[in-house]
Formats: sequence, structure tokens, C-alpha cells
Amino acid sequence: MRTPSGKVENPFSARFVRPGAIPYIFPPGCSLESVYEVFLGNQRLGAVIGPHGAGKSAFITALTDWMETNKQPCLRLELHDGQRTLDQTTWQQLEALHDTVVTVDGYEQLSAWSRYQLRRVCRKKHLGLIVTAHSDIEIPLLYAPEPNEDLAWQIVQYLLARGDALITREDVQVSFSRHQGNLREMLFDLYDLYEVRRTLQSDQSVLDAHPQH
Amino acid sequence: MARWFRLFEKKRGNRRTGSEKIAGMWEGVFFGALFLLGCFGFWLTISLFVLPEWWVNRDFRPVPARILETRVGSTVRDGQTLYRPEVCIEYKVAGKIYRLWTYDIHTVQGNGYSVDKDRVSRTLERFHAEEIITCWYDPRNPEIAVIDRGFWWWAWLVLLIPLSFVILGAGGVSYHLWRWGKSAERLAVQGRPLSLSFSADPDAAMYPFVPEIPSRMGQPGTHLPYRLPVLGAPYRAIYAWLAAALCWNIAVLGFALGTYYAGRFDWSFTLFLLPCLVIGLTLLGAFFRQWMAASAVGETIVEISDFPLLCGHRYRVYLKQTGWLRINWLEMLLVCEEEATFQHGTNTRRECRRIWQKTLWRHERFEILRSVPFETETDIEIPHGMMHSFRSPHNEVRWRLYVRGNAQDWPNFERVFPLVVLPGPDRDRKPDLRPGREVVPAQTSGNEQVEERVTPGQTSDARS
Amino acid sequence: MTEPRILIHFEGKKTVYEPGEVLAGQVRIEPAPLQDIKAIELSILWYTDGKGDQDLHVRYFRRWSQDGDLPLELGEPLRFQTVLPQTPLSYDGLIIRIRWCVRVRIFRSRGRELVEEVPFRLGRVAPARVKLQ
Repeated sequence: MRTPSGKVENPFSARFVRPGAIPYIFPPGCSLESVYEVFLGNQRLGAVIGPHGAGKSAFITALTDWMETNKQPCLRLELHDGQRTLDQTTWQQLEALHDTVVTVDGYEQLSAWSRYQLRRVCRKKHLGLIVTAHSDIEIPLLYAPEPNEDLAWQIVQYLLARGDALITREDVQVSFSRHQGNLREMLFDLYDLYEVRRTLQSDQSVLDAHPQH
Repeated sequence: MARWFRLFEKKRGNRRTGSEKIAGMWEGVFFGALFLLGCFGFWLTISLFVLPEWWVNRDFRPVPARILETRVGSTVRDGQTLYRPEVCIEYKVAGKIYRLWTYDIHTVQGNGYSVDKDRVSRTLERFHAEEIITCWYDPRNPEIAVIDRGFWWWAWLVLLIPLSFVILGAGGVSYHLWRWGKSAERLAVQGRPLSLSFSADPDAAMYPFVPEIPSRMGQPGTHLPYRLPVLGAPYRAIYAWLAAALCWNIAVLGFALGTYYAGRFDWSFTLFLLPCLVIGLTLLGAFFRQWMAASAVGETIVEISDFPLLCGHRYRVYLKQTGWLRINWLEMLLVCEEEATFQHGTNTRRECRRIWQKTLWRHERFEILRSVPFETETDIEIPHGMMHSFRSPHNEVRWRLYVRGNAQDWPNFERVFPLVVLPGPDRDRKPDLRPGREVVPAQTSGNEQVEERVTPGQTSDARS
Repeated sequence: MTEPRILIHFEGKKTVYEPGEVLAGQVRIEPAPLQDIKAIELSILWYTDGKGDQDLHVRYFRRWSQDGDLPLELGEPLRFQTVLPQTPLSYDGLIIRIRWCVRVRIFRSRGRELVEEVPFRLGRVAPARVKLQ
């Protein structure tokens, strides 16, 4: 909900921080175009490797959006909760595809057999394949996000544009350090901090308006 | 789109497909098969090892025998040569002379082989030709005789393997038989219980997105009208520890036996085995502790004067705690929590935040005896202006009663009882719209009064 | 060409409603004429916000269009009316918020679609403040 001033109540709400909601910020010298060139050079295979909360899902979402904007059809697959295989409908869908890039978020959760089957189908149908994983896998490395404090602060500044400047750079440094570079957990942590400060600010405004109370 | 019926179910993300009944049936079949396999293995072990030895030790009679010859018997099984001690003896029973190659009852049955030739040779060194020893013969069939009795200790350990299958299988089958024929509403506390408005359509429901009355509310209380269901059960933890202990110990036992009969049992293997045994004993200990804790703590029963609850109203709550315990402290809390679920990429992140909590009572240092359970009653009030119970696919506001305690020599225990809280009629005393409660405006002159009529079979809630 | 503005008015100029109360109002699009508007959709809905995935439920929906069931009469305000449900009430929690609003969406033959949303409160649930006794 927007306040009368047009700002959102908490810019760290889930809908503002989920993958795709924040434009992906690349380190200097790197861009979606350059990553796509690497992907083509790897025979249209690529793995995005990084620890929890590093921004793998956000990156793959950004890359897929860019490819679709540039008329490269994509099929997005997102695996959850230890999903070990793809369902029948997805396999049928893969068999029917042509000249498409398949993105799999959570590739390493698939069983070895499912992963083999997926690679085989992609090879047979000449499909591109981009996956995310937490550690090295059998697919060549495409991109490895490495969040740092500067990046974390850039993301927070982008979010704070929707709200009030209640989070400082020091807050970001402390939270980023506490969560050991896990951006997702850092943003959820800042949600709570923003909420507390917003409440205090609101209570203070009420007191200022009614000093006799 | 029509879909062919699956006999198995698949998990797709957070959704499951297929029939729960069929799944339950297959689970029951699995446990039944486990049980039958265990019974068969148990029978096999008993009949091949335990019973013959017992029979020899109980029924066979002694008679002097002369050793004629000794040898190392051998056979080839699965490409491996196996050995056993064989002694040729001569003895007389009822005037008839018998001569046979024997050693123990397993030899007589055609078994008794092992890979350890050295051990077999050492065994035979005790016997010399022309020596007179005692043999034991079967009085019903004197042609059968042995010169070595006693029990193979490991046969009793081997019995544990099929026994574990029997226990697991029986437990699983019993559980499924207990579940069978019961609707999901009767089984799961947070399953699909009775609807407050008998409609699954949120637009038709009287209280949309309020979690529905737990189905076990159909069970009346003995002290107050409604008995609250308890979330979860300690039995899952017990079964889990049992399964872990059995699996681990069986694996270790099997590995040890296999190594022993392969002739590779030496000091280095013993060093490896010791920590495995310690882990196995620890798991067994954990299982027994859980089981005894569940037995000692007993059942926690909570009953309430009315259900569902309304904000701003007061209710009577009754607690009965059974068991056999020396309680250090026992308390009951009324709690309101928020839970938000966020699926981000490959992870599901669930966060729970307690926003309101009140300790209703706390008792310290007393005893609960088997024949004298602890009972107490108290009032609870859902404060006016609080949020009602709410549940949507990813967000929930819930009210619960917690009963927590600590007893001497036992770990802390906790029982959770879900509540359903509706928005209360406001202070202008607008109608109570809970099902079964019809409000009839009374004809009065002057001030408007509202008379509440309660459907027979229900009780009115205590007003503050 | 001036961008159209969406003006949503509640009858009685209320912002807080009680469960079971009638929410009524009208929507005007200014400035007229509105030749390039293909359709207008109005929803009365609630949604969650906070640390969990957003849940949303539309309580009331109307669509006016040139070729639909409800004709789009240019120049006339679009009226809406519904009885608000008993639950869920508007809520300000620690990690969950529940918001009610009237949302209007305009689909145009040229240009991007426009959205306007006006919140209102259902019920009088106090904001959550952690209280552990």
C-alpha cells in the first residue's frame, strides 16, 4: 500500500525483493550481453554457481527476461523443496521445443538420472541450457555472483527510493556481515529494522502533533 | 483435462497429485510386506538355528562313543570353498551299533560350514582316534547324534533382524488400519476440517480465510463442552528414533557378521566396530528415553467453554495432565503468532513471529501420580481489537494454547492446542454471527436490548 | 494528449468500514472524451504484504467494455457497490499486513494501461505491537 506521500510502507517487503523485482547489478566489465556471449561460446550450456542468497535466481531471471526481449524463446523451470524430477508435462514440453533456451533454477536438486535425461533431451533437440547450483557441476561455469557490501548498498538504495531513508550504509554493512553475504537474509533483516524505525518515526510524529499527551 | 489415474503420486513443487487413499493403501501394503518378510525371516532363523539347538540340549541323551576318524569336511558354494569339522564316531543304543560322521546339530542338518579353515582345524585337534567321548543321540531317531551341544550366540543376534522387520511392519500396518476409513478431517489437525459455513467458496463462506474448526472439535469434553485437539504427537519422534536405531544396529550387525564369516574379523575391525556400537547404543537409548518420556508425561487434555472464540470475550479453560512425574514447573500460555512463507528460488523460507503472549498460570514443584492427574481451570480472554485467526496460502495469523512443563529427570515437554478466533462483535454489541447462534431482537420500550438464543446442544460463552 | 486520470470516490467519504457494511462509490475518468479506452475493470480486493509471498483475493469485480456485458458509457461515472465480508479485516502486523483497496484498471487501444488504487480499512484491528506477558 502506498502512503499519502506515494511511498510504500516497507520497501523490503517480499514483493519488492523477490527475483526479478530488482534490476540485476553487474560488477564493472560484465553485462548480460557479455554473459550471453560466454553462453554461446559454451555451446549454449551454462551454470550459475554461488552460495545461498548470492543472487543466482535473480541473475537467471534477469538473463531470461533479456533473452526473451531479444526474441530468444525461453522455458523457465523452477524447482522447489528437494524436487527430484520433472513432471510428465514438462518432459513432453521439452520434447516439443525448438531453438529454445531452458533455464533450470535449482538444477542440483534433480536426481542424477533426471539431470542426465535433461541434458540428453537438450542435446537431442538442440536446446540451450542454463542452470543454477550451489557448487560445481557437470555443466560449464557461466557466471558466479559474488555479492559484496557495495553491491548490497546499491540494492538497498534502489529499494529505499520507494520508501523513507531509514536504513544507513552502516546498517547494511552490519547486516551483510552478520548474514555472511547472504543478500536474501540481509534484506529480510532490513525489513524488520525498517519496520521498527518506521513505527518509531510514526509514534514520534504523533507525539510532536500532540505535545500535551 | 482428463488425466489417467495414477497408482503412485508425484510431488510437484509444493503440490502433490494422486489419491491419498491409494497412497495409504500402498503404504499399508509396504508395511504388510515388511511384516510378512520379518515373520518369514523370524521363522527361518528359529527353525534353522534356534530350534535345533534347543532340541539337542533338551531331548538328546548322552551315550559313550568311540572316535574312529576326524576330517575337515568341505563344500563349494557360490564359488567359495567352505569347511566344517567332521568326526566319525561309533556308539551303541539299545544293542544296536551306529556309526556316522557328525559334529553338532548343524552338521547333521547338512550345514555348519564356514570360510575359516584354521578354526575348523583347531576344533578337530581336540578329538583323537580311539578316544572315548560322550555323544548325544536323538531318542526318537538314534541315527542322529552329536558330539557338541550348546548355543550359537550369534543366532540370537540374527533374530533381531527379522524381529525389527516384524516390529516396523506391525507398527505400520496397525497405524494404517487405525487410519483406514477415517476422513482427512478426522486425522489431521490442520487438515480439512469442518467448514464454519459449510462452503469451500471463500465468497460464500461466512468467515472467509479464517482457518476452519479443527475436525476433532466434534469430540465433546467431559468437563467443559469442547475438547481441543493437540497438534502433532510425540509418537512420531518415538517411531523415528526406533527406526533409526533398528536400521543402524541391523546394518552394523550384518556388516560384523559378514566380516566374521569372511574370516576378516581382526583387531582393526574391532576398532572400527566400537564407535559403531556406541552410536547404535546411543540411538537405542534415545528411543527408550523418548518412549519413557511419552509414557511418563502422559496425556494432556484441554477443554474450553465455547468454540470458536470471539475477540473481546472471556472463556473458561480446563486442563488435565496425566502421567507420573515430579513437576518442576508447568504453565499454560495463550499465544498469537504470525507466520509468513516466502518461496525464493529453490528455497521455501518460513518465518514465525510471536506478537502476543500471556501466561495464564504457572505451577511449580508438585507431583502428578498415575491415579491422581493434575487438573486446573482458568479464564482466558482474547483482547478486544486483536487480529482474528487468518490463513491464506502464504500467510497466517494463528492463536494457540501452549502447555509447557519440565519434570525431574525428563526433558521439557510442550503440547500445542490450536484455537480459532473470530472478529468479535464490536462494542455496540452487533450480532454474534457464529453458526447456531440466532439473535432475536427483544421488543422493549426505550432501550434496545438483544436476546441471544442458542441452538440446543450448544452452550453460551461466558460474557466478560 | 492529456493522460486520463482515474478518480475513485467512496460514498459518504468514508475510509473505515465495518464488516457487513455496504461499500459503494463511483469511478470517473477525466478528462473526457475517452475514445481510446477499450475497457475498464474495477476490483474490490484484499492482498497481503510483508515477508511472505503476496496472497490476494478479489471480492468484487466488474468490467465495462465496448463489446462486453457491461457497456462502457463514456462520460458517465461507473458505480460500484458490494457488501463487505466479515473477514479478513485490515491488519498491520509485524511480518504480515492485510490491505483492502478498490483498484481500477484502464485498457487502452493506444498506450499503456493505467492503474489506480484507493485503500480503505475494514474493521478496527489495532496494529500489532509485541506484547509478551
